[in-house]
Amino acid sequence: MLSRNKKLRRRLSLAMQIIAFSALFLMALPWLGYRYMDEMKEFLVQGQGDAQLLAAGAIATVLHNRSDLFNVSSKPGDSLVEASALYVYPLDQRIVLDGYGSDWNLLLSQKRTFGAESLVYDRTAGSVSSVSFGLLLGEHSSHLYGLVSVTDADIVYRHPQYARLDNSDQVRIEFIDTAGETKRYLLITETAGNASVYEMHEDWVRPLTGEPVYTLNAIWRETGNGYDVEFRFPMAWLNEDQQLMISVADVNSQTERRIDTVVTTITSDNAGALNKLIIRSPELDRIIRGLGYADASVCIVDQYRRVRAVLGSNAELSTLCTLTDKVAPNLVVKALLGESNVYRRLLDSGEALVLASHPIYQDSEIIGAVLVEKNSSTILSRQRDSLNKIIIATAIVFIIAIIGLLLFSSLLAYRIRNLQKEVATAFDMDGRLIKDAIAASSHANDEVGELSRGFSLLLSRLKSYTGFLESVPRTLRHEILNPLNTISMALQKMSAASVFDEKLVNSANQASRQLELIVHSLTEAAHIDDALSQDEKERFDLAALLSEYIVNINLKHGEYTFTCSGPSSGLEIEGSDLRITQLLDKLKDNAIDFSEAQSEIKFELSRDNSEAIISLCNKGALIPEAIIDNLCNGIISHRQGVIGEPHLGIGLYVASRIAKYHNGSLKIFNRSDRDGVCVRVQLPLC
Amino acid sequence: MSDPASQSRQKTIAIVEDDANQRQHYAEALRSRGYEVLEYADRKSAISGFQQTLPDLAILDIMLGDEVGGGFELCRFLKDRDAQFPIIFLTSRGDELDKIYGLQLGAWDYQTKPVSLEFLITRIQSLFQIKANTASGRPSNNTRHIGDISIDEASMLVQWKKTPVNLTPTEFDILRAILNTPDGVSIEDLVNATRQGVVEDNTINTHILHIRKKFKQIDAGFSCIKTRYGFGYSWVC
Repeated sequence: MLSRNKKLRRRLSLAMQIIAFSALFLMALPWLGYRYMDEMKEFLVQGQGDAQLLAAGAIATVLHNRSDLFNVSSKPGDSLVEASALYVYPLDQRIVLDGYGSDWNLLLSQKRTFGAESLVYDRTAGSVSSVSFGLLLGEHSSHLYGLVSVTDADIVYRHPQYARLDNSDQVRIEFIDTAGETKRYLLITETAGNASVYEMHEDWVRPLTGEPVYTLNAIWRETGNGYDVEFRFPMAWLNEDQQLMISVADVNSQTERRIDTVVTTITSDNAGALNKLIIRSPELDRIIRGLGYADASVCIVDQYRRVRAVLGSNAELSTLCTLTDKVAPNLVVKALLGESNVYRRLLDSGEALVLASHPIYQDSEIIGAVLVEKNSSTILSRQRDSLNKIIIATAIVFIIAIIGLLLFSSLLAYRIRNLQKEVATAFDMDGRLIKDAIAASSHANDEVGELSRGFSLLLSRLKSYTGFLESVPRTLRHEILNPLNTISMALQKMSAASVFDEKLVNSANQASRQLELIVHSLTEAAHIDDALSQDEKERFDLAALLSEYIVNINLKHGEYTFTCSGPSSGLEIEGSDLRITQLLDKLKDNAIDFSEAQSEIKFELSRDNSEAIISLCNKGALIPEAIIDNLCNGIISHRQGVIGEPHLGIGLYVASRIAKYHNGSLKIFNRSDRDGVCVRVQLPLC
Repeated sequence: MSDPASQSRQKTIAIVEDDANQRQHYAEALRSRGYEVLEYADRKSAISGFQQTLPDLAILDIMLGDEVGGGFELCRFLKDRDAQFPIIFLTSRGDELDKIYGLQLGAWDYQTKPVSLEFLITRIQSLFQIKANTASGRPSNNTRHIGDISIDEASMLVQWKKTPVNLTPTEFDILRAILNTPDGVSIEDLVNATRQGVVEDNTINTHILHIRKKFKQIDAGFSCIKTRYGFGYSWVC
């Protein structure tokens, strides 16, 4: 049971190893896909940046030499006025005039504060702290909206009995109208709520007509630390220079009612001038609306980094261009220094935000910059889609591959198991070979098939060798018993006769010599490989050797005729000439044994590509096909009826070992005309 | 054969052979020729005997009981004591590697069993003669000169270009046979010349290789022993 579990574990282990190994590579597929998508995303984001830069350049080109769109004063010295300009925020919706600033939403944080530095009148000469106020200006539907948040501990409302209007806390609005005249409007109230608006003389003491102005609406509301005033009037009142000033006058007390301080939106050292209103240019808006492209936001800033036009909106741009009047990032600063740039950063959402900037020129002077912003959400979303597809496709491939591998490895394990079982049953418990072929997978064209056929070949050779071993005692017994019998008979005869008989002694000596020959033959065969390994190899001419050899053996064996056909020189091989002579001797002896007397024994020498081939054919008995392949194994002999010499069949074994030592081969086959046997020796040439 | 005993009466021969029957046969044969024979069955007893008395010649079997190379060990022991000590290996281990190894150890001769007792005694006499001649360092008067080679059959001395060539008795027999037959001598004749019962053709070839090597050590250009393929060898100089 334990052993079975072990086997099962080993089998699973094989399958699992294949699967684990393959999974390792399969797992890399989604990762590779992800890497590819990531690289592609990088490439696309880079491309998007380039496209944005081109778009920014194109928009800037359209706006080149269009300073009119920016309302930039060309007069020298106006830069101070420019610097103290009031920014009018574009409003998404109409402000409800109620004194509450909640309509201004996020813009409240952008409120600009004016205090001591803008003090234009101080009756107390600094003994009383001046009033201060915050200001927000907005524009919606051709109306200018304003929120004035005044910090004033003691609010002094208008007293109905006073004709003068300079004896209560008040907000003053001063601007130049379309006719070029300065208009002054005063916002006062007797109580919180609707404020009264009067057009005033230059001295801000009496109204021009005494009739309230209703086109300018204002609401007064008390706050914890002062009061807020919300107002609205038509933009059409302003001339093309759009100059405006807001002032807040603070009255000292209910009783005395004298103005202590006046704080304006213009700094004290510029007193007398009006603030310039910076409003988004409708013309610019119109132009960039035509130039905008899909999902991109465009923002035009002037040379003071003030937003002059915006197209599209998203969170990032609202920070950049909508919420503040001035755009601060380095990108804009660089653009205003004449440098085009692409800026990219990752948002928390994983998206990349791409910003491109390009300067706008008026002749050689930079009058503004174009910002084009777009995030990579589209690219990211497409990347996600593609990743999802890759993951799904990989999962499907993975599952199919795992199932396939599981089936394949199981089949492989099954086949190997079958092969193993069959090989195990090829031997009995004593290790005796009981079959010489393996049927499992023997016809398969793969490695298992080759393994099976290899086993079959191995078993077949093993069987042949086993057969040879089994035949050795029989052959040896036969070969040894004959001379032993001769010696025994000679000894018995001499013993019986009690006389020395030379004939009997000679007979016993001859038998003794036969026994020695057997032992020497066996020794020679047993040690031929070791002896060969000691030989030194040298180059020699095989053809010349064979020619000389034929001449000499013809002299030696007169009863046979040896002939040789083929070249008599020019076939050089590397090896031992003495060993080749030994090989030829073995072939010759074998041929003599099998040849009829007086017959011709024919050697043939030829060349086949890089090999020399020696063939020796003789007429005589055929060799049974069953043993023909084993003749070179030694102690296999087919000699019949030759008396006097031991027949161990070792000669061919020695000859084949010598051929093999020379990297050649020896083959024995029956002649095709069924009239004898041929031996063919192939030896590689130098 | 002349009475060898008269020449070898005082000679002592040690036989180290683990087979008692064979040891006895050899000992009896040698004693019958007048030699004094010391018999040992294993390496230990042989070494203890040699430490007391060193014989004039030793006949060693290689396999001694359980010791596969016991004879080789004894050979080393004796050679350490006397580098010129004549040793004959007489063994059933007939493969060439053993022969080469045995001769490399300094044995004077290597004979494979079975060996004719007459041949063995002749061989022993030759070895004693060689030893005597080597000790005297003088060739006898019947030295033959054939070209650059000088051969003295009585003292079994060979010189090539007046430099002695140190041949074993078998090698001397083979060289003498080749020199005595100007037309060339066949392998079979060389086998007979070595006077051994059974010699493989290749054993003769191996001896020829050794003879050539010994001559080449003296003269690198030596090529007087020609192979006549399918027949034998001849001296062509």
